[in-house]
Amino acid sequence: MTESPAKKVSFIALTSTLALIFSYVEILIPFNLGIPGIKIGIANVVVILALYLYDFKTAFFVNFIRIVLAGLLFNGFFAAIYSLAGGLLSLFIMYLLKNSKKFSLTAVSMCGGVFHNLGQITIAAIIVESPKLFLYFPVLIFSGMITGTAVGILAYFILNKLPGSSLPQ
Amino acid sequence: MFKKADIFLYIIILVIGLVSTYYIASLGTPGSSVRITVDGELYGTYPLSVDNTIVINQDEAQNIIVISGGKVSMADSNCPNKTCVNHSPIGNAGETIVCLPHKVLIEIIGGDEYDGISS
Repeated sequence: MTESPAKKVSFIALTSTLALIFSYVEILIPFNLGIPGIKIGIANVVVILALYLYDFKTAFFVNFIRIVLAGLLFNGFFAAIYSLAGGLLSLFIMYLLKNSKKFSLTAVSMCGGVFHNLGQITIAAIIVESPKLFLYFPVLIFSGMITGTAVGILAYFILNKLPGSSLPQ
Repeated sequence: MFKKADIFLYIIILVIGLVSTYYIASLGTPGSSVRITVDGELYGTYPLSVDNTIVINQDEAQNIIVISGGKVSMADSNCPNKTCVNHSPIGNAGETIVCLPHKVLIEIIGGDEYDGISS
């Protein structure tokens, strides 16, 4: 993609807003499987798009802006801290896997989902000083796999429909 | 949508998930009390936290159950096979010691709920 600073700034602004709206929409959808704290993470579709269309830095800004704004507007302070830990770890892992050029977007997103959950639980266990939270570990791994894959498939289709996008096959 | 190498990622994550499931399942949650049933009928419920010795006499049959340090064991029994006496002490919710000849069942009940952080 051709780069101009104005284009990049507007891309970040636009996608951050979109991600923020997704975060909000997700709160409205009752997605309750009887397990507390499991979310699909639709907003991560946008973060993955930013990572694949631009680079790590852009995806980082989009994710950071989304989490801070969502925290201030509706998620609350502690949720923002958990999200930040999960979001940054997940983005970092996805960046590494993407750069290895060996894996599909779907699998990259799957790992992103898993590590998002693991980052969150690690910070949560540190904050509440209760290693017992790690009893939740397996649930989070499997739910991360499922939601991460779902988000990845969604991102894959969207990316293919975008004009001028060249998805590495 | 998928690549061949994806299989490795999925397998690795799946294995981590299964191993951690197995590990956590083997840890068990500590129970809160001991329920003793004799011949299908409730004999008594005792807190795990209080050290105690319970002697159950039924005609000739005698069982001595000891609660000590959050664990329960069958200290003695005059049953023929002594399987219950040889059983290692239990303390996690759901664990049991059975003395089949005397129809004595020791159960650990009530693990404390861990407080999950939601959303």
